[in-house]
Amino acid sequence: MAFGGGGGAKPVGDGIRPSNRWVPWMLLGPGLAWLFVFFVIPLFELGRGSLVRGGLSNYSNVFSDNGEVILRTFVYAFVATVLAVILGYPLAYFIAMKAGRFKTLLLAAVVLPFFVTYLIRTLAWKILLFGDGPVVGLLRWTGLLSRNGEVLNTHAAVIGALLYNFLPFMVLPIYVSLDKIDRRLLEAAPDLYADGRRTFFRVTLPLSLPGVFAGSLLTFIPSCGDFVNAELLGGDRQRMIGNIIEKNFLRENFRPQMSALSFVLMLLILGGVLLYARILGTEELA
Amino acid sequence: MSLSRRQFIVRAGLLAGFGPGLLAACGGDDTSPSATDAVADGSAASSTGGVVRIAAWPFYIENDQNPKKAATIANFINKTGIDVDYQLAIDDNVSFTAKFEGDLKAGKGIGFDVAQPTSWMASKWIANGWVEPFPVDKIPNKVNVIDSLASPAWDPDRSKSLPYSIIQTGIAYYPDKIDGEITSIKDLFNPKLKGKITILSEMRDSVGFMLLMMGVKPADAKLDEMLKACEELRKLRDAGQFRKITGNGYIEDLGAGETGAAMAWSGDVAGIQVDTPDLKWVLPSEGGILSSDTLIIPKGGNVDTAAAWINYLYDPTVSGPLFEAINYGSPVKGAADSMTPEGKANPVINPAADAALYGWRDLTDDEQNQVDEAFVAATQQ
Repeated sequence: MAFGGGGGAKPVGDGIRPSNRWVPWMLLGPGLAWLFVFFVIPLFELGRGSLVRGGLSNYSNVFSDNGEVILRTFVYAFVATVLAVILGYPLAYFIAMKAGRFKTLLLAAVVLPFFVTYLIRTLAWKILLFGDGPVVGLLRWTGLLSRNGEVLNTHAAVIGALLYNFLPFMVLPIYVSLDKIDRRLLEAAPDLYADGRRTFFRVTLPLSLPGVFAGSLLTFIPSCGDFVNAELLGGDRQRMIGNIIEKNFLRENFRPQMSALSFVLMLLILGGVLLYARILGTEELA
Repeated sequence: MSLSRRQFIVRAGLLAGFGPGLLAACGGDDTSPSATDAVADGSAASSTGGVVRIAAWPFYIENDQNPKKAATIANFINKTGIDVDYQLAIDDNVSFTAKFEGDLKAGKGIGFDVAQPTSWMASKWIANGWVEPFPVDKIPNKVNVIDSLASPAWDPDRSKSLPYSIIQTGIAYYPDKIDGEITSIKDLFNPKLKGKITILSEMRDSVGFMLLMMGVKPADAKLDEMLKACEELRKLRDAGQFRKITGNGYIEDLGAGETGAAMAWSGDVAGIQVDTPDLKWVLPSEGGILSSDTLIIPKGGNVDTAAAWINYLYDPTVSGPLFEAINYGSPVKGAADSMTPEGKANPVINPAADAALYGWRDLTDDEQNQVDEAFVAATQQ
């Protein structure tokens, strides 16, 4: 794989005099302190909270109580991420390679939805998808939806909303990795008798995989923890882990179970990401 | 939906603004002399200035967006010289309490002089010693509390709490969307309406409905009956009966006509009906659930300004127009006489004396925990 090319940092430690060894630590200090206070301590508290009343059985109950929801959450997030790659890659490719002077304009268009708050964007979809709204009307008219069929409260609605809300997080990293590809490599490929397709699959795609990897993480991880889309566009059958936690974490009786559920969610995501990194082989990022 | 609801509240606020003076002028007959005297005393006692900080639920005053313009608050400020800091701080009982639990346990103030948790939660606050006792002599209007709410087991002499509002839980539905009428809980849970209805995520409302359908009054229910009710809810849910199980969020779907029928709170329905007149409200034949939000003075709150506000709310000529505007029941005797004839006749605000409305009995901590757990398992996971 070609990822080694970008790295290759030279060892700089030799240049630092012994008396200055604390300089890097001082630079790291504020960040580490911040992480300690706002990440390590809460995480520790959450872990401790997950073991009160019931102890480890809180963890074994997580799957028996929430198995269906856990599975659904990961399927939703996975499908949304795959669709985001399928939709986002060509878009990023077009912007990076073909858009010319419209590049900035198109990038702005990708980011533009963020100028409207997350909640309003999602609520706007809800209004569009209402039973007597334009989308459902059109779908029913074309026969794609039965006469009483609806879009809200379906898997498609929630996955679609996740996709919509996180798509820019896929497009932007892919764009960046495509944009920084050395164009001379793309010129060299035809000189070596590669046709367009071969150039893409042997040169462009491998060089842009770090972007796909970063974009997938930025889409998949927040999708797993999201509850807004399922809350607003889904129904009882579309609940995700986030909805369960949001509803019950503040109820004192449920805090241990919900803490355990949070940990399980975190571990499953971590496991998934490590597996993904291994498959994609991106040492640079993983 | 929320916009039109807001418009409604504003309109209602205007009405209430003109209401009190007019009605006070012509309808004083029914208010007892003691009540009238009490009003005078109360306002005289509290002309000291200061501020009362109120933690409130949404839609509980004529104008949520600009509380100072709500007639009830504006008149209070005029009358007493006490400023009002009205905050929509309560979204649900559990999270509101959780937010301040630490401060309350430490005996610190929470930045509010008055709060309005629902009665079951208020009883917890009182049991935990998280409230200031009422300065009873500064709330002479206290005598106006209606008899049925005058002495709950958890505060028998009402020395630490008074009801703010009376809420009915019933059914709201669109006859044309469900091809027929609903008259009972049984109708609501009929498989014919599979996937078209919403129920509430408040345990006492949803389990209460199921108990009533089983023929058990929530005030007499035994633990095993409550657990059985949770199990029945789970069966219905597994069969796909419920479109959603939500808190206040049911309002949007119902208002937009996405939901055919919903377990609903009385005041909300009146608000939605302004825009969708074909929405109907019914108290099911098995009965509806009665609950009440409760005024308390959180530990560390300013007892004097809080007492002035509470006393003011217990003036029937204040309570009548306010509750007509917000469409909930008033717990103040004689309040209905300060409403317009329409308001007085509206069963959402003033249910008939013999209406089949049932409150819950107080649950022990153990019962509360067990039923809560069963309810969450049945409806959330």
